[in-house]
Amino acid sequence: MALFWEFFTFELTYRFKSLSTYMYFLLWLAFSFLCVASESFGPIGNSNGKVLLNSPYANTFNDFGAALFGIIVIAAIFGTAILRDFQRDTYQILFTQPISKFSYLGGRWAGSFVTTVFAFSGMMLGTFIGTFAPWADHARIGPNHLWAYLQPFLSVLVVQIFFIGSAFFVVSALTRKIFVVYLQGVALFMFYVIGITVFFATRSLEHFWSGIFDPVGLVLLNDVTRYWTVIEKNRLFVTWSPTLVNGVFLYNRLFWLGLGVLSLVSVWTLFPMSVEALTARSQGRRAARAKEQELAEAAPVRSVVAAHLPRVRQVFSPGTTFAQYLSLSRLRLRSIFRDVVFWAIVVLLLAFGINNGYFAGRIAGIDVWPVTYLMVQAVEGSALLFLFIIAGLYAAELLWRERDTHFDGIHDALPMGESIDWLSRLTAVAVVEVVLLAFAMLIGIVMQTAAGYHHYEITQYLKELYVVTFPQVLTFIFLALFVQTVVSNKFAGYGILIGIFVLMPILYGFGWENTLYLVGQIPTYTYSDMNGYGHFVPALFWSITYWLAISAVLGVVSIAFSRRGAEDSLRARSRLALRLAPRLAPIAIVFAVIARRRRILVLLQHPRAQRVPQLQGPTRYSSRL
Amino acid sequence: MALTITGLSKTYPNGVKALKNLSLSIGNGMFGLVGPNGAGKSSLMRTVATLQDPDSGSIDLDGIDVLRKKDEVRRILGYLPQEFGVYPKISALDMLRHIAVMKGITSSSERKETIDALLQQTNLWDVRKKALSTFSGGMKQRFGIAQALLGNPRLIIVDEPTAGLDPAERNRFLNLLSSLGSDRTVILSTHIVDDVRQLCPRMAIIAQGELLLEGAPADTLAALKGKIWSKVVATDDELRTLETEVHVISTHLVGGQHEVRVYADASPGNGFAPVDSDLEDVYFLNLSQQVKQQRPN
Repeated sequence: MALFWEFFTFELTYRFKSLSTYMYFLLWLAFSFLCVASESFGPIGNSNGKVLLNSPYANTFNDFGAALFGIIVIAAIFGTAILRDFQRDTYQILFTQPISKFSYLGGRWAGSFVTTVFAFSGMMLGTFIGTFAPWADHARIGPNHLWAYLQPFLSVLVVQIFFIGSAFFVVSALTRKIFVVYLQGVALFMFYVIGITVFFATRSLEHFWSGIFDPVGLVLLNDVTRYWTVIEKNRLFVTWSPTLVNGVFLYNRLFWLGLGVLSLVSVWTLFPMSVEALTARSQGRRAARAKEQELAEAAPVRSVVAAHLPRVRQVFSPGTTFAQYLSLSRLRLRSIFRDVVFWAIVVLLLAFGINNGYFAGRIAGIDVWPVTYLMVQAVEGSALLFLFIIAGLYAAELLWRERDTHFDGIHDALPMGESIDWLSRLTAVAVVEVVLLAFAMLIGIVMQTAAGYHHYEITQYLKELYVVTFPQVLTFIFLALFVQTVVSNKFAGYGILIGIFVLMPILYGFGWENTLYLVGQIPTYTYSDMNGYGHFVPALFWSITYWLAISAVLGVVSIAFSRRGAEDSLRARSRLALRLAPRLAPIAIVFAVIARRRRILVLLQHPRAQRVPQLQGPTRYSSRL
Repeated sequence: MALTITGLSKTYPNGVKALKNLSLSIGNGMFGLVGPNGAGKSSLMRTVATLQDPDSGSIDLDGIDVLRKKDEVRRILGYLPQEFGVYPKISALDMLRHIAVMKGITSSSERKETIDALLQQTNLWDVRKKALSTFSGGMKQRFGIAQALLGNPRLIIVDEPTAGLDPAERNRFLNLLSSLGSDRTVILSTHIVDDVRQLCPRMAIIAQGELLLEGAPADTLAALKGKIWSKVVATDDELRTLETEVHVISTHLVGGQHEVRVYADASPGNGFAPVDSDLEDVYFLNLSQQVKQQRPN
């Protein structure tokens, strides 16, 4: 037991020294805060206008939502608890000590559990603070009761964390591969989202078994509170009572708690406590290597006298620069195409595309022909998130690749310009995106064919995907490359990017609708089969030009700040960048000219501002009469 | 080819003084740089290899200002860092092809010829199509050597190249280095004094960022002739007393007992026998003298 305590406290100390724990806490705090402080943010605020934002129902609903979107957070904490020893090779030290399986697995598990519960407790605090926001709609905020926060937290989030976390713990302890853990998380998330779409599409009236076997709880909550009035939602708790809607909530909790216990029992029985069994695969690899070396030794002995190396000519011309650029781009492109994570994302993109494409021809429950503009909306909508994920992920991967693999010593001493190096990274990610957009188009055409519709408008696909969407993705790649250049740590860069990505719709929701200030956003537009993009064309054209111009500037700044050599602190790089700064002057002038075009500003004004001239129109017209 | 380093100083942000006003001139041929761990060898090598800027000082390579005209240096440079990793899932052949393009070998027939020759020389021909990430330490080191020699570099900087090589491979590599001809500059850093003795007509010893000695190994050896004495001591106490009485430069374990080597103009007496000096004595003598000078009396 003392040993268990040792592992448990070690895990806690480790987690609470790590910044990510507090980041997760703040994430949930911010999320739940906004749910209360901004009526147009959360799902409760957006729905029926009389449900209190801090009611037990609202808290239960938000907790289920947090558990769904927090799957990846749970995976990140539970999944790495055992894995860490194998990534950092501490297992050899650990497993030669007299430790018991219970204390090792139990201590790590319990530490992760407490950490995760702490991280998600930000939900309660955020809601509570939100109720004091002076600008919030206080007609929708009731008096605070501790139990209204605690009961949903304990019966929703703690239970979710227990069994989802345990599932990740089992998989990571038994496979010891981070990739499998994340794949499990992503798959759980995706299959649930797809499953729920399919389930609701059937318009089933089954409200018992669907609730019990729902691991995430959105169907479950719908089953329990389906017929609740506003008053009930504001006062009643979703309790573990067997009489509450046939006890569906109770049985759901018991079922999944049982599965959680089952996974803990299975990890306890299946986890081998010996280095030999844990590293069976690498043992095999080692044996293969030893055999190889034996063969090499048996090979005919080479002369120890070195032969002279052939002379080569080195040519450094613009042609060589181009060849370098091609070679670098090819190398980077190949590293993406050979990454399993990339293919996992492609499979998900495919699944979502097919799912959304299937429903493309259904508008408000009525089946229509899946004409191209509907189909392109459907497949693009499902692909967009993945395109941004790929952009953010691989911009960072490629930018840090040399440093992550410690190849930078060789790479940085090669005779090439920083711009070639940087452009090759941009090219690689951009080419991948172009290919994925082609994928999306292909899915669209296949789904149109499957629906028996054969009037494919290829130009419409190309226009929407490559002229409107691709520049947005490209802007995000530029932004990601820039952020990753400036930060000193890849994960901080991810955090900033996700922050920007999440912040944009929030700012828009707060009424900040001018897309000139929202990174990478373009004005909303409507495509119609009658007049195409119509009067939106100039606004789209100028806003895309505007963001690409800003991207180009970010690109140039990123090149100037490129990491090269042993000293890559921001200070050292700023010194170098300042030396290069005068060369940027011409670009700055061009940019200033574009930005000063008043025309753009008028076209991109937000919808509310446009109402003024719209209102003035009739008055002016009537005065002329 | 001549490399002139003048007044090089470098202090890292954490306060470590890696180089202290170091000046050195290196001509054609092999140049050995020895020193203990943390002596500043790698800092010096990285600075010459254009990867790091000093706080002050200058480096001149046949009229090229190394610190300003980095790209010109990189074109004639072959660099093997002390520690390096490889991209996963790329074969040795593909990676060498890529680096050859980067080094401006534009003719594909020349590229193939030189890569094939290097793969043979470094004994990687049989595994050329295997992923670099599956290579063992020695194989990876040989790949590092192959990439450094691509493009007939005129300035070759190899930082502890023999670490991780078995004795046969080490010999083969040293042969390869010495066969590269006398028309280029090869800087070899190591803490294995033997490497330098076998290869380098000239050498330098650096410690704590300072140059302790520069010269030809043969000359430095000659200066010590008849001044190194050896004795086997039985106990630690005896060793401790000796340390206070005479200038002990090193001890070696021989069959479990300490063999003490002492620097003295005349025999220190009681049981000491004169021995032939070797390059290791030069190395340890210089290090121990530096320590003595720093110790306040």
